[in-house]
Amino acid sequence: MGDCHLIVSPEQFDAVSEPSPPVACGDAHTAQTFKITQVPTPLAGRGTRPGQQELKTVTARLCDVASLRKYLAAGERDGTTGLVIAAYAPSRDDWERGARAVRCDVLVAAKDGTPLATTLDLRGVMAGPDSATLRLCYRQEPVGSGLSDDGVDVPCTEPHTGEDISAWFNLDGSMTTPAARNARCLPYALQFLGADVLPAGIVLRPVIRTVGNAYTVRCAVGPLQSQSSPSTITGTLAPAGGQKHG
Amino acid sequence: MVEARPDASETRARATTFAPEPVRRKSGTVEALRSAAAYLARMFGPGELGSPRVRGVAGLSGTVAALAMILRLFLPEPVGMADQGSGHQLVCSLGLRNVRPWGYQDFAQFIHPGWVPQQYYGEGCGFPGSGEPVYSSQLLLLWLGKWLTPVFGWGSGLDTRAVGIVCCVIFGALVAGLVVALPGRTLFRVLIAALVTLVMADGVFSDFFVSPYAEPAAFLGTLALSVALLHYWNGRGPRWASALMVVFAAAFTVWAKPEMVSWLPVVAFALLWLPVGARRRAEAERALPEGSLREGPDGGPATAVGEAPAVGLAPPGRAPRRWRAFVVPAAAVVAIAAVALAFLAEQPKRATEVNLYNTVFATILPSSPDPAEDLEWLGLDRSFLTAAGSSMDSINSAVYNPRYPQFGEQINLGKVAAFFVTHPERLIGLGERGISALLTPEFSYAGSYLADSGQGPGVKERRVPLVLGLYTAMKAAPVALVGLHFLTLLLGFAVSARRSSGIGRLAVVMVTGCWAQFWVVLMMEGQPGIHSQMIVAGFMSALCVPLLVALVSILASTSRPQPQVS
Repeated sequence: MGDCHLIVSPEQFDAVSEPSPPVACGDAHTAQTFKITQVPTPLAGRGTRPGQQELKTVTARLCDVASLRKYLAAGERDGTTGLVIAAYAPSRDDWERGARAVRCDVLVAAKDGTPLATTLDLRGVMAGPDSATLRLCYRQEPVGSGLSDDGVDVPCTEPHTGEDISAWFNLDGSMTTPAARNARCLPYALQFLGADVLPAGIVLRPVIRTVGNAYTVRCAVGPLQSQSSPSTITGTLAPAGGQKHG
Repeated sequence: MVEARPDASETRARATTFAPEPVRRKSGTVEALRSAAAYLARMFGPGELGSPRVRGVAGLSGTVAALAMILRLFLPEPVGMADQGSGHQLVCSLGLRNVRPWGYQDFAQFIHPGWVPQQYYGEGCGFPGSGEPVYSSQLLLLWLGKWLTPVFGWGSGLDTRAVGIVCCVIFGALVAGLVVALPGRTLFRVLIAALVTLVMADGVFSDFFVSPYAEPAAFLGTLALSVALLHYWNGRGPRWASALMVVFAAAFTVWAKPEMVSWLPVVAFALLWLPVGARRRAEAERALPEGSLREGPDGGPATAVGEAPAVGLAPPGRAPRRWRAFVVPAAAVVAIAAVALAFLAEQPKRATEVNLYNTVFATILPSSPDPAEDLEWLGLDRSFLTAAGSSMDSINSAVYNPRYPQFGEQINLGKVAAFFVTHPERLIGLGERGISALLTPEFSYAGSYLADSGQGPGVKERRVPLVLGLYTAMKAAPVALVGLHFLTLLLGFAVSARRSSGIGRLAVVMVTGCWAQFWVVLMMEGQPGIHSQMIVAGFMSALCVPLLVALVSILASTSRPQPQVS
């Protein structure tokens, strides 16, 4: 666990078994192993390796998001972006020799899924100053004297107006006003910030995401905007990370 | 010593040239048509069906064909066939990785010709889902393209545009070979070669030249095999050499794609259909005392092209030795069969499993009047009924059935073939779907242009849409395709019987080869891959058009006694 790998093609990503040898995590890499587990029975009892679809179904269950968040040291309120999970079973020869280990890797990826090379060690990264790379933030556009309801997803290392705090709700009749949405998000924001009250200069800035006919409120926090020019920040507002006002 | 040459005066009298048949009544219109036909016959007709050497014209024709293909593919901007994801399994074995967008939609809508060096480990390279190595004679063309890529300044890896140039040059060489091997007058040969070039230039075929797919090897292999067979049947030069050419061409063709193994019985038939000269020699051997046979100056038979075989001259009681004529072709058949079997043995087991899955669950069961009975016949549990119509990646795929190992135990190519033999009524619907797929040769989802070309996503180029237009028209009456095949076959038999010309035999072989390819794809590849896999059968069908023109030209010309030359 903790080994780093360089996976650069979709075919390597989709391979059933390990497609790349380990590289030093200090060197450029795109994937890091966050969990090693075993194929469960009854699949493990087969003499020949099961097919790709069966293995992918099982390994998708084994390489779970909860295990990944634990590896990253992500708290309950830490929203992440650009993380993709890949799972690799033993090769056919190794399987016939009795190997049943499954390797779970996490990749840092761009929006279109292309893996991004990094030199970061992802173990515990969400608790450290480099977490902004993986945190989900929103960039909203100025509309009149305020900001748009929705925003573009960006990593928090890019200029943004709000930071996701991993609390999403359906937009129902009880949350039609900004005040109602802020009230719903406030406890989660305080949990995210580790504070009893909102610090000065930080406000609640939930975004409304529309997918088809579904409207979702995504709770977020951001810097207080001046009336004349909306400001952006880079970095994270999480207590462990650093931020810069833009 | 007695020479094997039949009576010279008799054979010379039979050497012929061909001119249009006279029409029965003379009227203004008919006379004009007759004049036009006569003019066309003089200009483009086959004339004497001999094989005079036309190397200069052949070289020029080949050069023009290659240049035409290069211009067609690269001007005003490069075009090709977008990869649908299967290109990697072949090209990766050269240690290369495609430079392309990660997302499938962006990837398939444009061509991404650039491949950069990449070292693969484990199952990162090979057939998807297993990493087993994938072999094809296309690797030879890709390797040449890789060698040429830096020469053209396209980087250190591989640019499929370089492969396109390699394919065009090879195509030009094959056109030159065709002009040499065809019978008749120079202009007639050039006309047929030009028609073959027009077929190849249609985007539904030529776009594959600039792609990582194995289809170019199948197309060029089919043409190479045609040229080699014509040369073999012409009977010029040592027969072992012409048979060896057929072996190489057949090996290249069969190794292009697994379904090209369907060529095997057809090539065997073609090789055992002895060259005219060999047949005559065998007949002459029957007629003469042992040790009395003499060869012609070129090592071939001591008879001229167009001469009649000395049939029925064997004295009573003399043991025929015709089997000698079959030694070389039989050895060639064995060699090709060995190559084909070796190729099949190297096929990824995963690919076979996927094909069998598609045949059972996506072809047999969805069109079955009683799927449960079919499952029982195939030895599969009834619980697989829920997977009818699925592919391996579907949510209802049979691979998630706990009894799926039964599929591997019960289903194999032999059982699938036996199923269709015992359920011939299924072939009707299957054939209809196959013809529909063959007449839809364009991969509408695969773009033809570079991402920075300014063309929209998934846009297809149709610079030379002759075959596409013909097939689109035929879709209104698909029976026209069957008609084209049967007409080519019948005229092929007629020409081979009446004119002893290899072009007639080639027509017969092309049609039967197309049918073999068609049914192998239908029965062994399954419904999901039917459109993409039917492209080679579509190419062979399209080649029937130039063949038909040649056959009609030959048959429409009447024989006229040649002036005697002593």
